Amino acid sequence: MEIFQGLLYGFQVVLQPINLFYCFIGVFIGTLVGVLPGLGPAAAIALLLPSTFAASPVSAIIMLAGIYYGAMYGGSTTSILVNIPGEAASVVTCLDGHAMARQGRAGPALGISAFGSFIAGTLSVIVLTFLAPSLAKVALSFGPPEYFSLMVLGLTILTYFARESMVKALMMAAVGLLCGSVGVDSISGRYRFTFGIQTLMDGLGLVPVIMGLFGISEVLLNLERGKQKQEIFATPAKGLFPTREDWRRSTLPIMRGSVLGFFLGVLPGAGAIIASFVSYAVEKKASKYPERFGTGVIEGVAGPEAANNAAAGGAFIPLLTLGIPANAVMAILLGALMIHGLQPGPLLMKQAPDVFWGIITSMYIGNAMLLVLNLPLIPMWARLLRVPYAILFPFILLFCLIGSYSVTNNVGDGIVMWVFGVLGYLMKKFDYEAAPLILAMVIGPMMEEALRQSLILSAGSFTIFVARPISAGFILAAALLLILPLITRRREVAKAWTSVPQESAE
Amino acid sequence: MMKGLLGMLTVALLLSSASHLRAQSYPNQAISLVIPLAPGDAGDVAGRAMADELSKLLKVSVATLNKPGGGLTIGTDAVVKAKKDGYTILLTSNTALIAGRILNPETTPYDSFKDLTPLGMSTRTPVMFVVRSDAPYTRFQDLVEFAKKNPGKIRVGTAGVGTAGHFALELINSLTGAGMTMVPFKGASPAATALLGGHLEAAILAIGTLSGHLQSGQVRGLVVSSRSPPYPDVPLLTQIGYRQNIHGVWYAFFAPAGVSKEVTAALVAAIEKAVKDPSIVAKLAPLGMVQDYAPPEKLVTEMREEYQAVEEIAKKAGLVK
Amino acid sequence: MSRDLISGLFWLAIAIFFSIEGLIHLKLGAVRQPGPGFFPFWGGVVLGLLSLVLLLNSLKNRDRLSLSGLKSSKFLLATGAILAYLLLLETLGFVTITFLFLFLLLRLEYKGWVFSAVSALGGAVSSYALFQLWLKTQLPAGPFGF
Repeated sequence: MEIFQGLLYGFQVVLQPINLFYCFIGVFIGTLVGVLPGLGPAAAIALLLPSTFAASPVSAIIMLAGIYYGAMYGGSTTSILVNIPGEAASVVTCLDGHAMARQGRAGPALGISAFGSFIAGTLSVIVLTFLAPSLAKVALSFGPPEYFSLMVLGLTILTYFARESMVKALMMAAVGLLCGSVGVDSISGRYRFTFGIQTLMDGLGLVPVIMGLFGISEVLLNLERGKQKQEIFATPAKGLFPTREDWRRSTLPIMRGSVLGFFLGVLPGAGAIIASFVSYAVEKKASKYPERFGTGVIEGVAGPEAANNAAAGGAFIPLLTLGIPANAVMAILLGALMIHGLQPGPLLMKQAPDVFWGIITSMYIGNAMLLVLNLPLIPMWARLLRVPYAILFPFILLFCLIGSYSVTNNVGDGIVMWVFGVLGYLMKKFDYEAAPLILAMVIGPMMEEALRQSLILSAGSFTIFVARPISAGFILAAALLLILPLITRRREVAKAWTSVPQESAE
Repeated sequence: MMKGLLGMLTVALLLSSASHLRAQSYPNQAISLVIPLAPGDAGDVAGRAMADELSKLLKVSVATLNKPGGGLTIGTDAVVKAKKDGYTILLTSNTALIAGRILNPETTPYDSFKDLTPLGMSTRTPVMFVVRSDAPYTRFQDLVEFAKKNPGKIRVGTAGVGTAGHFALELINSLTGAGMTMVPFKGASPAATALLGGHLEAAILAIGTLSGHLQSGQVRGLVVSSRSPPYPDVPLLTQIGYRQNIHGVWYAFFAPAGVSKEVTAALVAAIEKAVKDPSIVAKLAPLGMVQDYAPPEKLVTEMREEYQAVEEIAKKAGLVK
Repeated sequence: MSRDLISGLFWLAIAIFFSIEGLIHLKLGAVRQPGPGFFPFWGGVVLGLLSLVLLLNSLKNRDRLSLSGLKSSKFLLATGAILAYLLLLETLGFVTITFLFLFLLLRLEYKGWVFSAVSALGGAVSSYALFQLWLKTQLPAGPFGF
């Protein structure tokens, strides 16, 4: 009952015109930031934080939260249209989303990601409303050993991102691990592979690497292809919204993506990007036609897009109930709450019920606003594809440049993007996939840190990974995932390992 | 097409050489305050608040510029290399000036004493040693006793190698002989989370991250680096019989070395007023930050003492060769 | 030379570099207490072994490599323009360098002078308005204050 009173109270707060206004501004900026490649929600929230000082705490937090989940909606747009992720959690959406756009199905792809985002976003707020305190305990039960085992499980899904050669996909994962090891080693404090370059001291930035591998390289390749590219896009978009068949195929992926994303979002550190990768792997595994993934399968868009939105919702739980930020964005929101004189954590619900329930209910309203905002934009985005590439590409490059620079205001990050842009171009020429690299680069450092912390905690004993039930469960699941396919489909696996990569169809 | 690139270069050269319009008395144009932290970070909030106040005092715009990364050394180095005209100033912390210099001299390409003009100490964030409130020890001495009897049983989370908390733990271990295990995390939040989840017995962190958990009563402070008004009962090490205190985090203003006397004087006077401004003091208190002004000479003295102390700790702990 | 052969050799070199660096410069540590070199070393070893598999496979199939794109003036100009943008950004200021950058690239695809100049100016000014004035990014100012 308390919850319903809280919700009612929250809606009274949010439905005040001023808060509705801030909510709209938040989701609008979020969509924009999501659409623009490079500039992500963390940077945008940090930059706009000072301008909210004048507003009331509720309004300020409602707006900043709106930027975060709004960015998850917008992020898929450029992934689908130009094969460049708008923010990190939309990398996976490129794989099938852009393939759909090339078949003239940009509309349905954008549509299903908007609807999927709405459904997942709303579901995650409902779960957040009712289960927040008990889920918070789950988040706390994750210590370094649990994270290590979870990351081991995460690595096993790498094989699902091999489109042609398994060897090459695994190679890219290894490269991702190596890229992740650049910078200060958090356990020993030693610098690794920095060559005395200050920019590299904190490691290779995820944003510059993604912008390089996906953004710059894509533009370079298209420039070289010249006119052909535009002809592909000149084919009229077949329908702007998902068909009944699209819906039938997307319903389960959206549900699965929501659940997965939500739970991974609750765990500090894991977050939206890992959730989207896991969801893609799960859909490929569950599909009757896994071999068609990567050629424009709508499940490959629906699942990950639902997952990253649900993760955005889940991430609020540890912040609101424990005062623990689950990711960089939540850390800034925590700072914002504190600047406004509020203490996030168990006391927030009692000390500032207007803020606690206001944020939660604003997410119901904000998700609805985003759907209303995004659906009419779809025809407009689809029309954007008719703009000649010769005019479009300088602006894409410009947005990538601004995005990579404005994360740290450091030209060095732009240079990192440039290097990975050229590398990404060569990788495409030589048939290497960038997705496994990104996944491993995210997982690798977390896995390494957790492993070494666990061994410090246990004074060098490996039993810590199997003696704790959650950790043991993940290890077992990872082992099963690795071993089962080897037994049941030995022949196919053997074939995949030695298969000759075809001359790229692209 | 190479012509285009050449053209760009020529224009660039022309523009950069035509930019100097020299002027009368300082300050007569916008000052940029470099903050080597990400926007929204506690130190950044302090810097922005004081920049607003400085704008009013100096009657020119004081715009903050965030240059995060490299444990504050990237932004600090940018100011070391900036023009010595007083229009680029810096708010940085002992992480960049002391820990960075001692632990990683090769990636900290400046001399904290020679390459910067000190303008005044502004803000302190005390470092606190905390345990979960369900822990059996209420006094620091009880914990030390337990740790001595059970080596390796007290595992203490820090925000990472080379942070103030890390040095503090090394000092505590060497003063007490408690032999507690250090578990480094990437930042203060993950360490606090692990403490709350029961994966650690204690943590030693800057107060900002802890204040929510302190107020809700989930964690309890056992010892602190300097007085923190909201927690008057937590003692300093010297108050419970040890000869040295642990060092907290502090922020201070600097200009590049070689800035003229009159510029320095103007800045020092304005900074003193901005730091002592009551509205800023009130605004930063909930973030665990204490405004504590010290003039340039005192700042340098404290820096030298701390540098020596920390270098000694680092050598003892085998962190430097 | 096939594509797999060339790229396999490249990654093999990277792998050897990281493993050696991890083994010698950083410390491997013990199994019970991995050092900073542990992950880079094993990451390098795995990459190296996979590269060898790829190299062996590549001997069986020989496809012709076409890297003519690398020599194309468009590739050089685009990568050169990005690099020049980064190197001159903090000297020239955002608006000036953005105008030059957009203008050069629009001209690259043979759009008219007037069209290129107008779009470049519009793009530079509106992106400044969007990012600097509205989203409050801290873009570098040039000698003219923008």
